Amino acid sequence: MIKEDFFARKEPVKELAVWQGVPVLDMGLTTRCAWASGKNLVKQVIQSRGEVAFGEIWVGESPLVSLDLCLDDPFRLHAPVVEKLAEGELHHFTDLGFSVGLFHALPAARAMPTQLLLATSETGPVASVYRSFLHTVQTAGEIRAFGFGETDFLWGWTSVILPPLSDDIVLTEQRVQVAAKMGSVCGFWLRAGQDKTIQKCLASLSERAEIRLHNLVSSNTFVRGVLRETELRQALNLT
Amino acid sequence: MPKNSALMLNRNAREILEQKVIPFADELGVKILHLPGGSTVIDMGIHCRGGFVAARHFVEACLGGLGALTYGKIKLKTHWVPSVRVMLTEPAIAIMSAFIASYRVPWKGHLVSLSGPGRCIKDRPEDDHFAHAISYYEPEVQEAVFCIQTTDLPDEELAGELCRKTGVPPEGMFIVAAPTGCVVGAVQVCARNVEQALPTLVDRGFPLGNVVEAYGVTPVVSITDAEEIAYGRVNDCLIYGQVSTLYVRCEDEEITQILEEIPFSKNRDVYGLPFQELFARCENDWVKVPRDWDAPCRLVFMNLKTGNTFSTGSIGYDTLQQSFMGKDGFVV
Repeated sequence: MIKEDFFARKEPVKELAVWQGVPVLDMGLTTRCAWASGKNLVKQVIQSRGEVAFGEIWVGESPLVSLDLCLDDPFRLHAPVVEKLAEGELHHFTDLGFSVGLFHALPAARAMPTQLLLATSETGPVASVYRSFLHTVQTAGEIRAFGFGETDFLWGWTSVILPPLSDDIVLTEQRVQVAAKMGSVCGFWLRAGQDKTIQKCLASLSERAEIRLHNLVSSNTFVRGVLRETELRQALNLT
Repeated sequence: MPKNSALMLNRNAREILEQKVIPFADELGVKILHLPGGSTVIDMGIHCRGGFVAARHFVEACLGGLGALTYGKIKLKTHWVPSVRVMLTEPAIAIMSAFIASYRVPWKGHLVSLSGPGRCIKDRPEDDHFAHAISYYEPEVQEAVFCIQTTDLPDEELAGELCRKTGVPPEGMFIVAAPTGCVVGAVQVCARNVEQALPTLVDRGFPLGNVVEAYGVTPVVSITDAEEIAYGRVNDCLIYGQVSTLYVRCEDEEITQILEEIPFSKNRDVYGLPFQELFARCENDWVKVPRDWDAPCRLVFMNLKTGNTFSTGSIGYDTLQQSFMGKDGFVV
């Protein structure tokens, strides 16, 4: 289904190999798949329960493209199981039936826990969009782990910059962390009888530039941090 | 028959609901109810959670398919907040014939206001002045879509009244409902940016035939379960946060002579007060709200005829910030 969806969108995907019966779809490893494919990948992971769009966050006079998400059911966002390989990383979404491969070269065929592998360049635009998305997945997972159940964890809105691309995987990974800590805004709507619960949850979350939790019961918003434009400009060496 | 009746707002809206909402109710977090009489109710937040995607469909159906809603973001002092952007085709028809909530019917012992393209069906009610501000109507349709902002689930009484007034058979009657205190409620009210501007122009005698295209952007600062607070906040977003742009074709003087009378900021004695407080002063009754208070925050005219641009009004950042944070919220 996912495979057909990518082909139906007329994206430059192609079937690269078959690993023990599992098709490997080239989505930017050697093909020209880029931003739109990244966006569609995110849509697949959220199962169309929300809106995915590109926006901008202006840092001085430099507009940095952001991945903007309106999430209808962030409780259901689950982080992938990550498998490290010499050629990159495999991210398995077993519930969804597919894996994402972030590679610098296609690994040898191996057994897969899913029915489809979407392979992309670890430093390319598809990976950039996907990695920015994972910041939101991580924060949603931490809120769930704190104890918010499905009926109390309602919606989310996040905007995370896509850091400048680089062919260097080490620099890319550094920039991904910069995006999370200085260039991301994550907001979630929760229900808690007491604001103290919201505040404790906020304090427990991993660092993001700005995280805010809205308590639907008390109508109050609690914010930790702010988008750090000056530091972001320095960290990304934007002139 | 009016020249534009082929636009078929009710058919467009029904298609949106039948093709994009009803088959995907679970993914959208909405509930579909088939009333015993045959009408369909789509609950987008009363007994379900709804979501941003459902909210987009609510707005686009309510506009009779003559507009597109997308989400963006706006910087509110130091915080980026989500925003809704509405781009309209045939703005006068989309707004005056469909989107304005000025179709009043009795329900549960009170008069309630509905919006949606059902408003433009043949014998439009006399008291829906905005529907009569333009000539568009749809004769002899077999389908109607109405939208209502309510905490009560529409029932047979409401559906029956709407069928009786429009002449539409129950199986063609669709009612979309959401309270203010949910994401669909917040988005659909914040999407009423151009909606707030056009009636203000009508009040001042500006011909809507001059309006060629339109779009509006509004921040969605916060959502809350508390209906009264939610109601105040979404209206804060409109009177202190929305910016609408109208592409018009007219003489510049037609714009300049009314420019200062348009924005909410003309109400200097109350400007800056949260809408919840303003509404309380009017005993929470729209009938008692001064007409000048239902005014856009900021309006931009782009005159195609002369190439000149005019703007009026200003964004009330302090009030929006207050709405965003709430009474006891804080930044650490």
